[in-house]
Amino acid sequence: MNMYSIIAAVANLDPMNKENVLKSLEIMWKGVLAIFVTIAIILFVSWAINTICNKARVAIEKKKAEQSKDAPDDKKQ
Amino acid sequence: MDFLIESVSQVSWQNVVMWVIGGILIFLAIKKDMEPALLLPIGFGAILVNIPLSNVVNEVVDGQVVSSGIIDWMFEIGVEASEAMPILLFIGIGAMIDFGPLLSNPKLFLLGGAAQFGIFLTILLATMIGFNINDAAAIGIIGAADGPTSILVAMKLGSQYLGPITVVAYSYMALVPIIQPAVIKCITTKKERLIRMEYNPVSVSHTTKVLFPIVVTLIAGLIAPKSLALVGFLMFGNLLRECGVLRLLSETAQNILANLITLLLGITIASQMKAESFVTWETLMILGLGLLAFVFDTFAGVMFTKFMNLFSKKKINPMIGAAGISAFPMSARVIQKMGLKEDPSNHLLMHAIGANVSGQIASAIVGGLIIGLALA
Repeated sequence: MNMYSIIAAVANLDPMNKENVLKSLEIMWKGVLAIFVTIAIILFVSWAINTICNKARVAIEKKKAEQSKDAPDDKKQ
Repeated sequence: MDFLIESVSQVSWQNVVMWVIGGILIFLAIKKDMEPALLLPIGFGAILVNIPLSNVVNEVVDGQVVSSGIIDWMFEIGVEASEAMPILLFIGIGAMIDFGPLLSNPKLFLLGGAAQFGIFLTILLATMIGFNINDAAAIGIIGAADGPTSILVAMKLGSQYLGPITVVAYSYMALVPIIQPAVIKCITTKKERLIRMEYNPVSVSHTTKVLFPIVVTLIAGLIAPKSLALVGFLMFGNLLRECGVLRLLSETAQNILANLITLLLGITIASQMKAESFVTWETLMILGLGLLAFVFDTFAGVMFTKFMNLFSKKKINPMIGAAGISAFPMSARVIQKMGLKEDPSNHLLMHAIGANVSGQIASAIVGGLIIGLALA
């Protein structure tokens, strides 16, 4: 009688079922793989969106700065 | 005069145990300020449903319900029939979360994923003790450190231990400031805890913040469709917050909706705390397994951070990994406190919050994954 079966007996649970243990191992590897794949995709996509948005913003700001630089010269002319 | 002692004569020792448990939960809520919004209604509800002949629970004669009780009715409508209460609570949680710190340092996403490992290890342990796979999966999700997710998974998997699982989940969430520092100190050196992390956030555009909840919903939904009830509503709440044109709705979700659901959810869950189903050895087992789930999660988060440091130029303080669980913002605050204790000038809060909100998303996704995998 191992430790797990003693605990199961005290708690009125069924003794360890090999099928359940194998199923839990299956849940473990599939679950860990799925969460990391999901997280990795979210990480990549959100990084890409933020990089693109920031670049676009910098480009717009640069354009605005150039336009405002040109504006006083136009007035002078 | 028998009518005066009709109820008293039916009081069992199990009922008295439940009154004591209810009293302890109320004490912890008021005196120790441990998750008072949940533990107080649950504690009072535990007393309420364990008074014999109480009309707050269904009156059953020969297996037939002869009159409905309000608490059982709220459970049937709000949790059992539609899981509406825990899911609606996610709108409020989503509206409260600022994903900015996470988006400015996306590496922290990985820590949220790593800190979910304890859930899977606990499921394995629970099956080894003798719980069937659905009950084991519902017990394992206590490690998500997320009350609504625990309730939803236990309901979807038809676990008979919904009451103990919910109480254990919320109790350990309240005990995060005690559990996590002890585990972290055991598995990190002082030198590691002293690793400094400067906070130089990359600016996050409004467009990114608006697109983020939509993108997460799409990705999580396509890979783990069973997580959509949780992730979708979490992200809907966040979209309300970030869109910038629905300030009133966002505030309502954060305050009125979240408070109302929390108030009702606590007392509704108490319907599952009837003495006959709660005072059992299995409840003690769940208490032990729940603690292990939190310990394993913290361990996995810290160890994964150390692993990441092997390949990274900018080292991450390993304590940040422990904040990858979903107990928001408590876990982040614990890490900040621990960091300041080691070095009063090392502020880790924003990094920890990044990992913590990542844990929110990851735990909701894992909840859906487990439902799908356990039922497959």
